[in-house]
Amino acid sequence: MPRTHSPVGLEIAWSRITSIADEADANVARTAFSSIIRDSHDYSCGLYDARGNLLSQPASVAPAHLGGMTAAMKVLGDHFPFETLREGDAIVTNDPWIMSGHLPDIMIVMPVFHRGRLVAHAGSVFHHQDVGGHLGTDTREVFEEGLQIPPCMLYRAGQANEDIFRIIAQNVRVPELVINDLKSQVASLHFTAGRIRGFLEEQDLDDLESLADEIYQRTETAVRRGIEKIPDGVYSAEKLLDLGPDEPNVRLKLRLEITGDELFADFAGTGPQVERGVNCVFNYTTAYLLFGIMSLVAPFLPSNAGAVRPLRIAAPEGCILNAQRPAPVIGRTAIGQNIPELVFSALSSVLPEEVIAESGSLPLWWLTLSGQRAGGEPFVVGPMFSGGLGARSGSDGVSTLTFPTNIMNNPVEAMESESPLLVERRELLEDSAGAGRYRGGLGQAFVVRVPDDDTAPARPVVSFLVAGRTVIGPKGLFGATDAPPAAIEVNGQTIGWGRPYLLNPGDRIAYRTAGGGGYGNPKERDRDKVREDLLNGLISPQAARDIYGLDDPS
Amino acid sequence: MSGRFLLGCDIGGTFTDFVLLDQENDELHLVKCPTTAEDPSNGVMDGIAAYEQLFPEFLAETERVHHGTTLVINAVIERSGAKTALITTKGFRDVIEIGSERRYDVYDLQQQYPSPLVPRHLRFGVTERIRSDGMVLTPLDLRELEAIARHVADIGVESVAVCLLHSYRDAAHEEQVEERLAALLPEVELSISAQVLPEINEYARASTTVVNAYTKPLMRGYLERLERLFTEKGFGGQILIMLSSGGATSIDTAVRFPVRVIESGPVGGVTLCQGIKSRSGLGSAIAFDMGGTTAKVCLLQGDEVPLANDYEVARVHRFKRGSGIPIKASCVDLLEIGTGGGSIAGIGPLGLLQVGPQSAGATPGPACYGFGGTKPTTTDADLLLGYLDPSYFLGGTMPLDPDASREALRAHVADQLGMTPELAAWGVHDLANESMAAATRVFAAERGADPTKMTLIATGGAGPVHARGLAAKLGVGRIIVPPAAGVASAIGFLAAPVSFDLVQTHKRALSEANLAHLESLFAEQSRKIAETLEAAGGEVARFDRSVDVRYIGQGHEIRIALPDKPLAELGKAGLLTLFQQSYERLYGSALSGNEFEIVNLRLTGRGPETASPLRPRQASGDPMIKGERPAFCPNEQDFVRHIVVDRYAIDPGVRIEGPAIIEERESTTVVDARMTAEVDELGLLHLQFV
Repeated sequence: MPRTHSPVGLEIAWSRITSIADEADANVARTAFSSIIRDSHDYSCGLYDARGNLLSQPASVAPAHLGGMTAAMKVLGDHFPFETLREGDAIVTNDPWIMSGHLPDIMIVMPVFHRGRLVAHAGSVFHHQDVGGHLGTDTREVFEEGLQIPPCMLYRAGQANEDIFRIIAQNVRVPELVINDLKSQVASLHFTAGRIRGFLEEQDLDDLESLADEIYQRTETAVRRGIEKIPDGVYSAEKLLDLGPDEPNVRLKLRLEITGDELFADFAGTGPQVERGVNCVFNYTTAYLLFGIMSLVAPFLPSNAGAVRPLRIAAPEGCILNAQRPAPVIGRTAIGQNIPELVFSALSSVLPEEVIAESGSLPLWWLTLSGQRAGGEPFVVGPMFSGGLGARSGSDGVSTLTFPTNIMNNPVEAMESESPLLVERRELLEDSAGAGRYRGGLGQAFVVRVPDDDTAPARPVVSFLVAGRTVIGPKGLFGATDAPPAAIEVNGQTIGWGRPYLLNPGDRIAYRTAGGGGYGNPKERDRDKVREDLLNGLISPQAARDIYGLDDPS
Repeated sequence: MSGRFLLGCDIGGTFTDFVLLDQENDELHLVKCPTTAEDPSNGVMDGIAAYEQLFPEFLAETERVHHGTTLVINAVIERSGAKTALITTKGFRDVIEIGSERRYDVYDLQQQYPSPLVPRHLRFGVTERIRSDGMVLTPLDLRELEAIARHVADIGVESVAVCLLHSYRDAAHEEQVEERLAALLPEVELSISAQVLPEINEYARASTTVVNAYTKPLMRGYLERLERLFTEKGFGGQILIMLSSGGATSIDTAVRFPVRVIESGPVGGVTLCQGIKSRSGLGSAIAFDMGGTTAKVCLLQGDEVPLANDYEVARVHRFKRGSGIPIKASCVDLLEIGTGGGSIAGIGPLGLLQVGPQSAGATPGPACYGFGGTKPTTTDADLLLGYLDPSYFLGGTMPLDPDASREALRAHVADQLGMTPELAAWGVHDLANESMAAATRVFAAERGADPTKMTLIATGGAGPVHARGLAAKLGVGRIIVPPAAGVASAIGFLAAPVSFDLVQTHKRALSEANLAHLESLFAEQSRKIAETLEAAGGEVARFDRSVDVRYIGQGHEIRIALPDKPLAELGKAGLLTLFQQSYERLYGSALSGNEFEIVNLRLTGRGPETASPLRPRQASGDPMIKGERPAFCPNEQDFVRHIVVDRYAIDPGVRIEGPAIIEERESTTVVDARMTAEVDELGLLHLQFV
């Protein structure tokens, strides 16, 4: 039954839907098991309407998860037509090409029924602790990267499909943890479904359609207004990415065409997919392109199906941003997270106030350290440490901040309790940021030592790291300087990333993330700020004198 | 010492509220004075002077003063604390600047973060290392420490925070640092993390210790001055300082741990509501306070005020978690919502009505104040709807201008949405209620609470105006409005017993826990608490023990109260049952095949219960019905006649049928057509849906 919504009633109903998404998010954080979910918050929830359109998301999401899940909702109906779904069903998949682009991300989605009709879908993506496979980006095909789960019914009418649980348990290194997380993922969807039903009951609505359509329409209009503010024209950008020392570089190209209130993004000219696990599926590319656009034109709008309607996106099949099966994709962060910066770079001439300089924060440094304690018990820890955000038009970049993904670091004290490893240093790095009228945020040093006393691990510790920017540092904008590249060193020797690296007792591994690029001419930086940075050891006397032109840096 | 009077004194942002309880005549005397920000003790003494008009030299006959102050939180917000240094394990001095690394807004590229309270040049690493199991890997380098001490003295540092890795496990190195610094820097205040917060997680511990250090000199100066001023007036009783956790403590303890009093502002109101809940025999209640800029909600489900362990202060965006400075310390488990009388209404980016979180504050204030505000606020909507009397706001001391409200609503809301200013006003009022209801639902769900089974207790200037709408949205059937709801906090202070709590991280799987050892750790905590309470001039009436527990592998602990009997008697089986039941209550079901782990031990000691500040009262004898006026009725979606009732003239037991508006000096209660209202012998106003 179509209903018209008054602007007041609509806002009231909409704030309820948004709060349901936030409730779903809070519920996961409290009930999940693995550190990557509970501490690092590497998961996302989403609410979808009966047709599979994105209805609402919580305040905190990882853009790639949400984009992947939203894309998957468009094709899951081909496998399991929505009209055949029953109460208590739950569909699972981690297919990178259907969903968010690598196997550890497992999506579960559950239909929500009200008054006997399908009214919504509640979904979530968890980055699970393990899906088997090789721990490294030195893979040649996705088959090496772990268990692939095509869209399957994990629950049918409330009954678990135990065969799937058994297959998953057999294929992962920490079966108990993964199975527990999957179960808490399902439990949280039940919780969310209950909330949606309660809302419809209370509002005496048969379904969400008319409410959703009106919100999509209004969101679309607002995004169009944002795009309209950009002058019509073609804006291009190009970026060279390094995959570590002695590795070939990767070229990304973006062409943005603005016509009135519509935007067309084309990645033609981007380099081909590679035989390393850093390729991006198109869903992933789309998610980060959308993130880049939205953060410039409409950062405070709700994200839903209406927001994407004014956008068209293309990337040639077989390029590294639209990789085809069976390309390896495990470490797609290394490439795909650069896309927002391509957008910023392309639009910097017309949106100089909105864009920010390149960030040492991206790509995410995703590290896993695993091994056995002296007594033989296994351990796995995933410390997280970010580089600095790029400088903005009116303020310095923030030091050590995740971007564009959004996860949390974990305390050193917790990591040392859960493993025999020692962290010797976690500190901001002097001169790691690009200089400018506003400087970049600083990167950090994270130094781990493998003990060689009675707590020395029984076997070498495996360090698996996906990183980036270890050759080409983040660029500055408008006359600012670039930040120096990041580095990884074992006992003083530079190493690359991607391949598993074995650490022996007594070894010391230093991870140094990059700072952000600067914004504007460093000579125009407020002198008091230069002196303050010098006093605080954020810049060296040499940088104060040579780059910032401070007369008396003593 | 016993005496005739008890004094409650609550320093707020704008006003300092006083409540004097005359125990001989069972009378409460209320006074409001402007807060004097430059030295809040001046405002306090203004209040004392006002009471001296009534009762000369009353301080000499006063038994206790319960004092709450925003001094600490303001110092953090305004950055007016002491020049503070931080000493950490070498390599970790940036712990408070690196933070959690998480963004509080996914899309906002321009987001700002609070700069650390201790700038980097005042943060020092010292060579030393203790392992996670407590073993010393590297002894403390005393020579390095002495060099830091000399440097710190040279540059005029007033306060030092010390936070070394794993000190929650073994505090030996922090104690050595404390001993050396105390000897070398006798004039400098010290805050030691293992004393402030012996809990795992170096960022939260360092951040909390730094806030403590940053505010300590200020707190000492203020409280010592206040004590002196009181003594000069012949006061021989006890001054108690309100804690964020709802209890009260001595000046000495407040000076050592200012971080524990940082969020004491809302505590009085919640304490009052908790007292009302127990006296009225309610199973559970929602304490709801709505003031000028925010609303606050606390769910009262047990015999004690509920506590949380972490919160944030000085947020860049007041309602965005992650944009402030984190603190871990016991505080009342409170939800703060960006909806208050001053919340500004307007049209959002989607062309829809929005209310808050921006607030017009006290200046320029709502349009109807006539202080220059032109934007419509919740108070403007309430006025236009007829709920507030333009000539009886704050007892008539502040005339309101309804035409200014109508114009503001027309220009900023009604014209855009194509409706009358009056209907737009209802939209604003209703949306404000919806925002509060939505936030309350999420908050309740997280705590396994069901609002429909609870009673709403409304305080604050705007609380009783919005209670009816909030209750209807939450499915709450019953509302209580205490007398003088606008100064509930100061009244509630008088009911706060002396208390102190401690936490100790002690991670053990339940199966591996040694109950005798846990018993000894609790005994050690109880000894320390008894010392603290005795220093506050009190004794311990009872101890409450609780543990933070999680399934092994989970990151979020739940706090579980232990029954008052020896652990040995309870046994591990008893503990397991208790943990499972608590988990089920919160999350619906316990997990099979997973083991519990104890993370922290918590102990709270409390002094004897204090007398209730609510005393029997009689109707004033004035005519009960003051008149009538049209006000908006949500059922009719139109204005209908409401009788206007003088709250102080209602005889206990008389039933008032809605629609009615019940007025008192500090607040106004709306009773809609579906409700009845009654006053009991304590002066509590009871509203019920028919």
